[in-house]
Amino acid sequence: MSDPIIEVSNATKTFGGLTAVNRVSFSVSRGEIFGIAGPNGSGKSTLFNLMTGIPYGPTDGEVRFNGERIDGRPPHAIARSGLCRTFQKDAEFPDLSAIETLQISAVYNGGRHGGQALEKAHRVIELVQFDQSRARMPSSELSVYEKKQLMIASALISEPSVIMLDEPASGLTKPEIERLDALLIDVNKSGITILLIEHVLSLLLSVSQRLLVLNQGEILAEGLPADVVRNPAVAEAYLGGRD
Amino acid sequence: MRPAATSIILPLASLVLLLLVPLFATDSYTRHLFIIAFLYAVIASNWNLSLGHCGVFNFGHLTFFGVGVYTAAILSKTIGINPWIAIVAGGATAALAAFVIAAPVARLKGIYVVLVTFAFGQLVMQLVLSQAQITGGAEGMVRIPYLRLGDYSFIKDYKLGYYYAALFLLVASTLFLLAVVRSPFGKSLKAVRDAEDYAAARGISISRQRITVLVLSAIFTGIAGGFYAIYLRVASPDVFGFGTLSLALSMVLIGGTGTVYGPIVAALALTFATEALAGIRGLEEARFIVIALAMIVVLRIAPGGLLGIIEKLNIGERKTAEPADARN
Repeated sequence: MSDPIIEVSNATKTFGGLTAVNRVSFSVSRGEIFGIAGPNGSGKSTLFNLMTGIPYGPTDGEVRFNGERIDGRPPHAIARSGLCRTFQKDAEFPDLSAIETLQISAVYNGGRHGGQALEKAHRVIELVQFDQSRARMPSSELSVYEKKQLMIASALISEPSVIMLDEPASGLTKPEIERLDALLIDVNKSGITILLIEHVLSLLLSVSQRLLVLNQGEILAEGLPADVVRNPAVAEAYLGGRD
Repeated sequence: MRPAATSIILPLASLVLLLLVPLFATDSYTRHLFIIAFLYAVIASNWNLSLGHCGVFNFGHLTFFGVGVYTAAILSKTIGINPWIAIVAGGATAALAAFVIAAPVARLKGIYVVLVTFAFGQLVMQLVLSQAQITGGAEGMVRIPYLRLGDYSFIKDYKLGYYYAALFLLVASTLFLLAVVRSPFGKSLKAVRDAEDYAAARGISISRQRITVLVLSAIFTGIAGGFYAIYLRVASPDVFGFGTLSLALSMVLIGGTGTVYGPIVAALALTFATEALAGIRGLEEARFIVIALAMIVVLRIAPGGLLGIIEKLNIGERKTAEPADARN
């Protein structure tokens, strides 16, 4: 693989007797959109968790970012190093407005202060096409799509090398998914590597350049999306029944 | 109500009223009640910084107050340092105590934070009781030097000097709290409180914010403790008791967690309410039951406290008019 930005080797996560992720290894190239699929409980979000240290690191194995080992580092330090993730749940700071959310992301993750942070917040709001008129109301009053836009914007404001998106299309309407599709392509074109966990296969297959499928914490298939979809085991177990 | 009214005009009008109070309340007793209310307002509003804004269930907050009390008492009486300096030193030692307790608390969650911080309070109280040669033990310390400004004694003029000094302390503490909660640091506290994982993913160190907020919340609480000792001229281990803690907590909860002004309003209201109830025959001891019932009713109707009720009344207008950062 040319110029890997992320290398995961034998990553394992156990909770007591349960192995949620079992010796998973893969690499992601710089500038790639790397999709991750699998049924509920297959370990996709756990994989993101142990890679970012939020809220826990791996029980065993290694995670490298830009060639340096990051497992064991504090979560905020991993984020500041340029590996920024989003969440499927708890996707807002309910008391903070969009501007305030972006402002603190710019300060703590982007190293910007005062007017610089505010200026950057306004630029990112434009980039993700967030409705400016709603930028100062509490996040708890935003729509599902606006919350997703804001979470992605708060990741982008620190100019990360990699963003890891955990089911960004869940709960969105078809037109909103199309807008998200276009946004992800634009973000990737700006040079940012994307790791994407997604149940909405139309989006996942549309944007991913490579695809990894997990089942019960282990890799079931990995490769080009077209090849993975044709894999009989994947088609039968995970994709066959879907639209 | 417009944001400017709630965030600027009302507080300023309240301040003007409080500045004028001594013109009408000319007796020592009423002024004493105001002074105690101001000190409770400082305690409750600073407690709210860690509890309401950052979600740290610190049940050792009154320990910071107690540390301030004994710092000022020992420095001014035993060592002979100027009481003004002793009061400020109370803030410094309280902040140091907060730093000591913050280190183990920073990585704990929920009930464990309550247990550790409560145990810390008991530990400090036992330390005070056991070091009787320094602290006076269970009997405490009395005849602590009072405040003077040049030749003017603050005991004179029916506590007029103490009234304005306590009000100044409340204003300084409130301005400090407003500056903290409106800064990016203050906003990061709400992020930590509401979505810890999301906050960490945006580069915010959860443990560092918790340590910092505990230290910041202790500064003015310790100064209030120092002022309390110098004003009453007494340092007693009662300040570590559950009664003081529960009264201050009720001020935070009734006033509204996550606001700056809520606990201040509640502190003023509850101080005078408990005093008024104490004057009613048959309610002398039952007043705390009344306060507890009030707390249950307020929290049942509006978990956001009294200011939460006001927000609910204004919710329609706020949606269009008030930015999120105006809710202090």
